[in-house]
This record gives sequence, structure tokens and C-alpha cells, in this order.
Amino acid sequence: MLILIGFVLAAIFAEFLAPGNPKQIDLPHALMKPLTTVGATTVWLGTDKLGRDILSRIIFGARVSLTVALIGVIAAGSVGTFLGIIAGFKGGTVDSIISRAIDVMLGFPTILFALVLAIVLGPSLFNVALVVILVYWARYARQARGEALKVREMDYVTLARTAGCSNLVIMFRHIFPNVVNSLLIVSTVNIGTVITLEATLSFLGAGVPPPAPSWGTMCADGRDLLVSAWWVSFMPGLAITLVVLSGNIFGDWLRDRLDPNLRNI
Amino acid sequence: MSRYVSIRLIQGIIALFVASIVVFCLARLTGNPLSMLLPETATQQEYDALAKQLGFDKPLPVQYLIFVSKAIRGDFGKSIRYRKPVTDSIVERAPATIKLALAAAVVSFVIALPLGVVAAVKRDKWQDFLAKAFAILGQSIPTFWLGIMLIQLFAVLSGWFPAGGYGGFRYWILPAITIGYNSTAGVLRLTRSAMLDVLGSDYVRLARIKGLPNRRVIWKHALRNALIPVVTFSGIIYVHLLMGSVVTETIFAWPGIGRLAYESVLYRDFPMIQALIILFVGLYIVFNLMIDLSYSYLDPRVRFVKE
Repeated sequence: MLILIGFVLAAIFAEFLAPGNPKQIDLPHALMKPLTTVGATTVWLGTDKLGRDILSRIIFGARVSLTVALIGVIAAGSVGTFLGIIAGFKGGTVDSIISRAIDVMLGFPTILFALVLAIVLGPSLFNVALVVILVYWARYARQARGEALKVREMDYVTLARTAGCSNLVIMFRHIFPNVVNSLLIVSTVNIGTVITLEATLSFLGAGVPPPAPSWGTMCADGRDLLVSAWWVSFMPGLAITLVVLSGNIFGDWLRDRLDPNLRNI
Repeated sequence: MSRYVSIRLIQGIIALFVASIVVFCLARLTGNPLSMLLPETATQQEYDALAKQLGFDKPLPVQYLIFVSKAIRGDFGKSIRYRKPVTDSIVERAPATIKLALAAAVVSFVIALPLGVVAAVKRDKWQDFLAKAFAILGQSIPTFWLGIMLIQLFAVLSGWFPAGGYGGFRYWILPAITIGYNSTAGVLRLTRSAMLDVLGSDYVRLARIKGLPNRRVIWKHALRNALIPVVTFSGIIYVHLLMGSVVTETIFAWPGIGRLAYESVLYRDFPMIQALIILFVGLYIVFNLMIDLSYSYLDPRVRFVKE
């Protein structure tokens, strides 16, 4: 399993790695099978219908997926955690309102909501990130709220109150650090889901617009060519699967280390 | 007990209303369906006339109130795209999705439960490893890719199964697997962990001491108790199945409401989008409620605590 952690790192660094070849359109070389050799260069993963090298598109696509994933998770995480902690800690009306909002958000069918939002806002990288934030904050909020509820009753919190700390200070210096652990675990798994969501949106045409190389769009492109050029869809999809897979394995590993209570799941 | 139920119902209804408002506003933000309906050469007058006919000329809150008053009576308006009542289209295509969702759910459980039990019993041995690998793959593969790959392998290359369309077993098995793989993975892991908990418990030891054959201990006694969290999870599964169908139905050209939803969004068919989302949210609420109720029924401990 540790091998795959390495893979996660590779996925991260891929974007900083000198990209294989620039993603230029090269029509004469359209639709080449993987591992053919043209003159001096070897086409590792084949080319798509516009002759673009798939390997470099995948590498650039990693950048897209990762940007969305990171922005989405961090932003959604921050907003969600913030609201969740407030809800859990303060209780009362504030809690009710936020909880209702969380329930509604969670009850929404993710893909449909994301789709509608994406179409409203128009296809662009930034908007996809926005969609992710809007869809995912509720998960973080629920988790944070639960943890905040648990921690709230702890002695050191009461102690802090007696010492005269303002509510705000208590929230950030005491509750937050204890919530962070479970959030990290949730985040690692979420990164995978976010990447899949971005890919699905792009696949359906509502994500990052062409010619930007999103893995999802690449899969969609290859759909018509399944009979003849199967690699156009296969490669990017494989990339998604592998990245998400390593993310999940990493998440499991993290969970085993940080919270043995949740082992075996 | 009934007080709990009524509280939850009210909360659910409120959530539904909020959702409907959100959907209402969002749908209208996605663009003007009029531009899709009228040819480019239409005059401003024709625009206005159509707008008036479809009720778009009234201010937004008024539109919403009209919508709600009709919706409560079951009239969700006419589909802009199909020119017939929305409920008709939904009722027409719902059975297809239900069929697919059920097939996927059955496939999931049939595969996941036994695998989960085996994985728990043979913990850390190769059966467990394989099962876990299978599960984690299922949670990583993007649905649409799985669908495409299945088509590639089983339809295009080998010609065993058709690549799309509606029909009998050969038509729905591929999409069912596509939707179901993800939940199969979840159920498998859950079963495994629940079984692991249960197998270590006292009553299992007692059954073994009594001399019951191991098989009976595992399958009859342990599994029954392990099923409780699984049941809780299944509710979420059903909703996921319905959602996953959006992508899968599009790929496999399956005439269900998932695909209907996708196309409606593309066509800015407001009434349809609204109705569908409200349907989905409503289903989610209903399912959750049913699960909570069945939970307290299955696990007597919960029942007593609630009273």
C-alpha cells in the first residue's frame, strides 16, 4: 500500500514535472496507437483525433484535476468546518438553522445539483471549483459539528471558559485542533470524489471547457471512437481511477494511523 | 415514537420547500428557454407572447407562488420541451430507472454480502485481501469510465451484450453493474466491518461453545446482527443509485429519469428540472425516515432508548 502513496506524490508532482510534450494539435498524426514510434519520438499513450499526444494531455490534465480538487477541498473544508464548529458549539437557533441547511444540501442529488450549477455559471475552471465548494461544504460542516458537540463538554473547554476566554478564542484554540484529525481523514477521501465529480462534469460537458485537457473531457472525446481508437477514452479514465485509488488507499492508511477506532472499515 | 416521526416529517417538508425555492431560482438562472424554443428570426413580439403564455412575464415571487399552489395539487406544469404535463413524462420514464436501480441494488447485495462475510471470516488472508482490493477499486472508478469500458469490453469487442437501449437482461446487466459497483464496494466494506465486530462478541462465543456448527454461527446468528448498519447504509445507496443513473443512463441510452434530468437541464426545461429535483429530494427524505424507523424496529435497544 505504501507503493501507492508514492503514486499520489507522483500525481502531485506530475504537474511540476516538465510536461512530456507540449499539447499542440498535430493533425497528420491523429489517432495513433500507443507505443508507436514516429521518427525520433515515441508516442507512449497514443494520440487523439486531433493528433494531440495523450500522455502530455494527461499530465496537463493532472494539473486541472488537482487544482480543482485542492481549491475545492480546502475552500469547502474551511467554510464547512467553520460553520460546523459554530453550529456545534453555539447550539440553539444558530445550530438549528445551520443544521437544516446542511440537511437540505446533503439531500440534494449531487450530480444534478452540480450540473445545474455548472450550467448556470458557465463552463470554466473557476466555476467548477465553485460548484465543488457549494456541494461539499455540507459534508465538512456535519462532521465538524459532530466533533464540536463532542468536544464541547470536555473539561478543558469549561476551564477555558472559566478563565474568561471569549467564545471565539475557545472555538479556535481548543475545539478546532481536535476536529482537525477527522477532517483530514474526510478530506483525503473527498479529494478522490471531487476529482471524479470534476471529471464527470467535464464528461457531460459542464466542466472545464476544451481545449483544456480535463480527464473527463478526454473520456468524452473518445466515446465516439471506442470501436477504432479505444485508448483515447481508456487512458484518461485509467488515470482518474489510479489517482482516486491511491487517494483512497492513502486515506485508509491515514485513518488507521490517526484513529484506530475507525479501523476495519 | 409518533412524535418523533411527526417532527421528522415537518423537518422534511421544510427542507423540501427550501429545496424547491433553490431549484426554482437556479433553474431560471440557467438561461432563457425561450431562446431554445423559438427560431432565431422570431420577433420581440413573439418572444413576449410566448413568455406570457408560459407565465414568464410575471415577477419571480409570483411565479413561485403559482408554482407551489399548483404543485401541491400535483400539477407540476407542462414540460417546455415535450409540451405535455411534466408528471406524464416522469411517470413514463420512472419505471425504467426503478428497474435499473433495483437491478443494481440486487446485484450489489448479492455480490457484496457474501463477499463481506467471507472477508471478515478469513480476515487478513488472501480472500480478505482480494475482497478489499475489489471494494476499494469500486470506490475509485469513475462511473462513466466504468460504463464506457464495459461497453468497450463486452459490447464492442466481444459483441455479447448490446451497447445501449432498453430491454431484457442483456440490456440492463451492463448499466446495472456500472451503477452498482460503487455501492457494492460500500456494502462489502460495511458488511465486513460489521461482521468483524459481531464475530468478536459474546453471543457468538456462546453459540460456538454450545457446539453449533461454525457455518450456522456465521451465517445465521452473526450475519443477522451485522446487517443492522448495512440496512442504514442501504437507504443512501438507493438515492445514489438514482443519482448515478444520470450518467449511466446517458451512456447506455437508457430511457429513465436520470437521463431525462440531464437533458432537461440542457434544454432549460424548468418545470421538468424542478419536478425532478423535488422528487429526488423528497425521495431522499422519505428513505431516510424509513431507515430511521426500520432501525428502531430492527434494534430493540434503540427502541427503548427513544421512549
